[in-house]
Amino acid sequence: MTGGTGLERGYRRLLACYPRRFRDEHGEELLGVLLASTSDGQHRPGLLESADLVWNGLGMRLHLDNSRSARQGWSDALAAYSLVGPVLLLLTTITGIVLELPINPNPAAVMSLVAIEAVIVVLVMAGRRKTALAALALSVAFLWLGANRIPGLGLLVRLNLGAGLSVYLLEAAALIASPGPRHGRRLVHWGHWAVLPAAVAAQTCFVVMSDRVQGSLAALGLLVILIFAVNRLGQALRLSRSFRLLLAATFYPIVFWSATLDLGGLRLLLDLNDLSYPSALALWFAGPLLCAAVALSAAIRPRRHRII
Amino acid sequence: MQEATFLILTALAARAQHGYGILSDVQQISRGRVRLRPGTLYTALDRLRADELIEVDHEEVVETRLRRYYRLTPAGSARLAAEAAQLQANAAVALARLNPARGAT
Repeated sequence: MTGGTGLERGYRRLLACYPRRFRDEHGEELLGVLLASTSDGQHRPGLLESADLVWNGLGMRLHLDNSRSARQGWSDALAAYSLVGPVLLLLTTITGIVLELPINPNPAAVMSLVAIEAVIVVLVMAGRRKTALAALALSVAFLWLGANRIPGLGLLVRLNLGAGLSVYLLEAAALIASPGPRHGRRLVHWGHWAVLPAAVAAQTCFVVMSDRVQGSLAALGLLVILIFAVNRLGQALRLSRSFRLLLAATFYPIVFWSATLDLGGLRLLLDLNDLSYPSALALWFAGPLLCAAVALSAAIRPRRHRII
Repeated sequence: MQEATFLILTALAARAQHGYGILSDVQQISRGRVRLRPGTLYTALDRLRADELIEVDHEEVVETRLRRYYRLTPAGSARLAAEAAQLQANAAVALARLNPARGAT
């Protein structure tokens, strides 16, 4: 073994793909095995070894492993999100109304949006899983209609269409795959609620800034900083990694929207204002879609049995 | 149970082993067909420990590096025995159907 060599440094860099808990537990041990497995004269990690470490490390960070604890982690995170997600959306909408109502001349439509979101909150709090799913579908239709047909919803709908559909995608996954909001009530603690004001503030700050600052690179930068701050706060409040990933995925559409429309990057390729483009929609909601798929797969993944 | 998991548990069935020993043993048990990479092995070991199928037997330091030996827990032994019995039963049925005359004798 060659301690402190370029080969060891290379392996240490690759081990950074693994979460800190794993590195503390197995890092030195794994490094020893990696160095013992190398062939004579090898000066850098091999391609297959590197790919193996990156794949397993990132998979562990995303809780994609098939352990009972990982499956339980996603299942619990979805159950907690099924309660917290709709409340986050309602608070964001109400905050948006307080700040944006003067420039939204359609108070009836705005109030309808709030009413639907409030109904979903009441339903999940009451543990009515199927009714809440039906209300979700109604709310998505309303948001869609609002974005295209109802005049006067303006920024409120732009915010809600991004954050709202994102929450609803994850909420639908949570209601379908998790033990449900009743189980979520037993898991949710004050930390889940304490992180909500920060999440609402992050989204609202971004919308207010992007509306007032010409060319919203600054708004996008602020949003990214705020998302990291929300994640750190969630970590300090002992929220699980899976739950924090679900929360972060909620922000993805507005980050993508800002990066493409306001920075002009992908605008040449995609016209995201036209929601009829499936490719644009798939990209716009790739974050929450991917996160919902991962959570669903982990939470309901059957135990595989392979014939050897 | 996936094949890699089955082979790792089999490698630990007779005695406690460290990571490199398990890698070599898995290759030997599978007659060279399965070659686990260290990243995959330790991800599996971490999962098996979380599922309480294996546990740490003892640790030692060799050339300034930590070497940890793993062994099966009673739950791990039971799980491996159940899996092996299932595979054996399936294999017996397959062989009997492939060779009915031999199965009848």
